[in-house]
Amino acid sequence: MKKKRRKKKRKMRDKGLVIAIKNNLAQVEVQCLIESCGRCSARSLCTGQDKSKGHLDVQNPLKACVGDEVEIEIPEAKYNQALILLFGTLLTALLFGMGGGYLLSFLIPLSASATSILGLILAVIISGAFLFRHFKRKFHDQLYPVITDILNKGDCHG
Amino acid sequence: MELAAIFISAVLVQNFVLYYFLGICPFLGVSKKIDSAFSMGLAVTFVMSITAVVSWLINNLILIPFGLDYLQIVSFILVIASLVQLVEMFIRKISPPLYQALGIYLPLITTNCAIMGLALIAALNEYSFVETVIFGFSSGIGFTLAIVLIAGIREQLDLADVPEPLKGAGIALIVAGIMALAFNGFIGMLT
Repeated sequence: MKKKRRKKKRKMRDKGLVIAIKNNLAQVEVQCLIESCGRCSARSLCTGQDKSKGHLDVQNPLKACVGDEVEIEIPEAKYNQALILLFGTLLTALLFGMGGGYLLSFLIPLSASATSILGLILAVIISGAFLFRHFKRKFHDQLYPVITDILNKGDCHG
Repeated sequence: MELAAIFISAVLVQNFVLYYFLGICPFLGVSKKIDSAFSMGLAVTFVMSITAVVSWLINNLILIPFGLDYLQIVSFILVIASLVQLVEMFIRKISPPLYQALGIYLPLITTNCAIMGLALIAALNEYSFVETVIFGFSSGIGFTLAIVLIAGIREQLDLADVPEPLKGAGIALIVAGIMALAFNGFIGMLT
């Protein structure tokens, strides 16, 4: 029988235990399955740690408290968007800076290499400063994982 | 014309992954989804381009004038590690959750031998500054092309009946080998 070729929209979810609340964020302890590191980018936080547990700062819209077992959703698509914006901007600046510097060498008495280097460095610094100012504003808190469900309520609920 | 030849050669003919077989770790590790593969490709392209710039500067302004060519490998390792550290610090500053999510992602680039290979091949070919940057950029584009292509194939392979022992890395390596053979066909372009 033929397999259905319908593509399901997968969301990366995980379970964890709330161990602390800091400002609006909850710190969640998740179990690290080291053997599945190759399959899941969220497991990367476990690499290099002696213990088999990792800690994540997550958004807490459900007001979970310490001791709650929760389900969290990791905004993987947002990570990709953010990375594409970040490295895309830097790469574009690098190329345009070098190109601009190269063209400038026809106007000023400096070698093409020198003007290209100067143009490139200047463009990367300017784009870095631009990202520094606007990146946070664009993504705000969207890059934090979110608690989507409280699976087992802890003692704090009374 | 020379720059166009360098670009085409690095992207299609002497592709870092499919011709030199460098950078296989992220090629297999981050090629399960097209989106992740593309963002990894962009990150590698940026680090490759910036490595090309800095390694050219160090090679041509310090190592060659002072007769220290034998220190190329050591100095390039240092340059690449420092650069990735800088990129990590920058990401940590502008977005702590993104830094938290990346985890092993960026160090995977540091230990990517394709970056080291790029610095050494660029020095060996005695490219000018502009040629070096174009070489670095196009090698990154070649890497992105290869990783996105294999990610597309692997997404389809999820739906295929792959024999149990070949699932995962086994079938990925077979696909990479077939892709390398296919890319060999581009060699005639630049003769």
